[in-house]
Amino acid sequence: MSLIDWLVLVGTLSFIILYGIYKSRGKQNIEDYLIAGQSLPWYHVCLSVMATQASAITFLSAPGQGFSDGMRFVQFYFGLPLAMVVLSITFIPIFHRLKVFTAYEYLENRFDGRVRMFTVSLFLLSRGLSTGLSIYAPSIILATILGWDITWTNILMGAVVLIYTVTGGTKAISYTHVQQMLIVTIAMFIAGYMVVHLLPADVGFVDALKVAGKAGRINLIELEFDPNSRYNIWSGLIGGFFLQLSYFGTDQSQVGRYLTGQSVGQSRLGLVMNGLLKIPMQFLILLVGVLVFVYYQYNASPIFFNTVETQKLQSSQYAGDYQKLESEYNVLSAQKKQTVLSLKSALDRADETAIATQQQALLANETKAKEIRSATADLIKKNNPTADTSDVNYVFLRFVLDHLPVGLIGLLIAVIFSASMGSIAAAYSSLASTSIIDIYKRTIKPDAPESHYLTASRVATVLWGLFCIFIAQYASKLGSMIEAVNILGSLFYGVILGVFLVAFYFKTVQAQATFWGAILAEIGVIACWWFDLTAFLWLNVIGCLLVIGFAWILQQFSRPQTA
Amino acid sequence: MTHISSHKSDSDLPPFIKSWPQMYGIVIGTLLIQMLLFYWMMRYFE
Repeated sequence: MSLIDWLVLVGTLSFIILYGIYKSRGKQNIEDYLIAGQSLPWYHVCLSVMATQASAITFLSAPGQGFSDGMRFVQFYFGLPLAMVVLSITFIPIFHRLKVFTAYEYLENRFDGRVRMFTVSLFLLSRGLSTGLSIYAPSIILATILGWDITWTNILMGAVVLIYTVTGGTKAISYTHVQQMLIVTIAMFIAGYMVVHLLPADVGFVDALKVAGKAGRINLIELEFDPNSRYNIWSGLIGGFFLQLSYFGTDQSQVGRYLTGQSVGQSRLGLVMNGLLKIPMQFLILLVGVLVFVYYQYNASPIFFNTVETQKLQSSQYAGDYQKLESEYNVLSAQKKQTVLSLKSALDRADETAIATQQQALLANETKAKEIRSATADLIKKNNPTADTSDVNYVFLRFVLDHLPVGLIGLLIAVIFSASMGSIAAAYSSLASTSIIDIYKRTIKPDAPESHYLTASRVATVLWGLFCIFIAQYASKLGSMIEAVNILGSLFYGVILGVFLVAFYFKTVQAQATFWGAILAEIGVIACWWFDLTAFLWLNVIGCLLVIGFAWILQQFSRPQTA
Repeated sequence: MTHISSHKSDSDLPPFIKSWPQMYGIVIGTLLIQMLLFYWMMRYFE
């Protein structure tokens, strides 16, 4: 990166952090630190939940998915608006009425301490691990592509967030979230514009979409019901609904965001606006990836976007094999350019026969290119068994570094950092609030003064920050990282949601039945995942329904509990 | 923390929206329109 890019990167991040700390200055109590004194307006709530959900992985993997797999990933979010409506009707009024700091406090009111502790344990386990992954995932990509040291990138990513989270608490997190989302949105629009600008002069935005459509990248809706297909309209609407309901309704990193709303209405409005904005935002990010795909139809693409690994190959014993693959790929790239030019010409003439012929040629070329890329990935693995070969995560960053102008590179790296910081900050805060309110205050020191809990919350934030950085250092290599995070959540979220739904809607089911029902359901979900019985989005539905089913059945065999 | 009444919640609605059920209807309607638009877009460009 150039000096200007460094200045833009450091300047943008410093502005966001210092602004957040400045806006949250002043004397704080535990309520201010954990839920911003319930003083924030709806747009803070909306942007804060969006920034919490949109991690750096979103901006690295999603354009890569658009590039390699098209836009079908957008269906993953179809259940989100429905979940926002249910949350606004049921969850928000209850959490506000009971004046809770964490979602799990409610479970002790409704059931008992055992059920509360069980869900708290599942949350701390899944959120602690996935936050480590949220630090590691962008760090490994930035470190690989920019040649930074992974340890220091992890520490930088995790520690900077720790400073403003501990200093300013939830208010600082919320103010930084607003700035982060504004910068992220502006930068993604600029990136999309720049990709179209870099296309040949006679290829406009609509032409690019036509080419993408013929290459199968505008695959926005898949109507066929297939439980093993990760993304179709049904898994998005049903599986996505359960995932988003459990994520936003029971994950403290999100509950903590909308509890900051100054009233029930402001919290509701923040969530329903998220329901309106999330799908268009995800559509835009995937569209950028699709436009990058079109760019590489007119221009030669790297055989592998993680070019650091291909450089290693060139100086290895596999250099000969690699050069053979590269020559084959270069021939294919030249053919691809000719094919896409002919396709564009056929589209301009509306010559259906020629369009069909060139479309077939383009698809055949792509199949062959995929085979070569796959053979290259095998070669990379042979050369370096620990290499990260999930190339989808490197597509967008490689494009940014190779083709965008000085200054914009720094801004887009800042976007990746900002997005990462947004979700990590919310996670630190939620881990600390759950540890202090649900464990420390409840079981270890119930009657301490407010100032003690404030200090304890700050200490807990630091300890969880260090834990997550530690996990990041030892995170193993995973596939497409955005999916890995979602899979980890899906193992636990469905069960936690099931417990909450039993609490809200099954008034006759008591604590004992719910507790054992939840344990049996968790075993069932892990078994489904272990034996690979279904796509991961359905694990949320299965987990939730199993808890309800088991709890209800067990309740029928239980003696009524006495008060 | 102050107690939040349902009356206060209604007063938080955006302009021109009369009730929360109407707001939820807009969210669900927007989702349906988005899905239809996506389907149309896919068919148009494929």
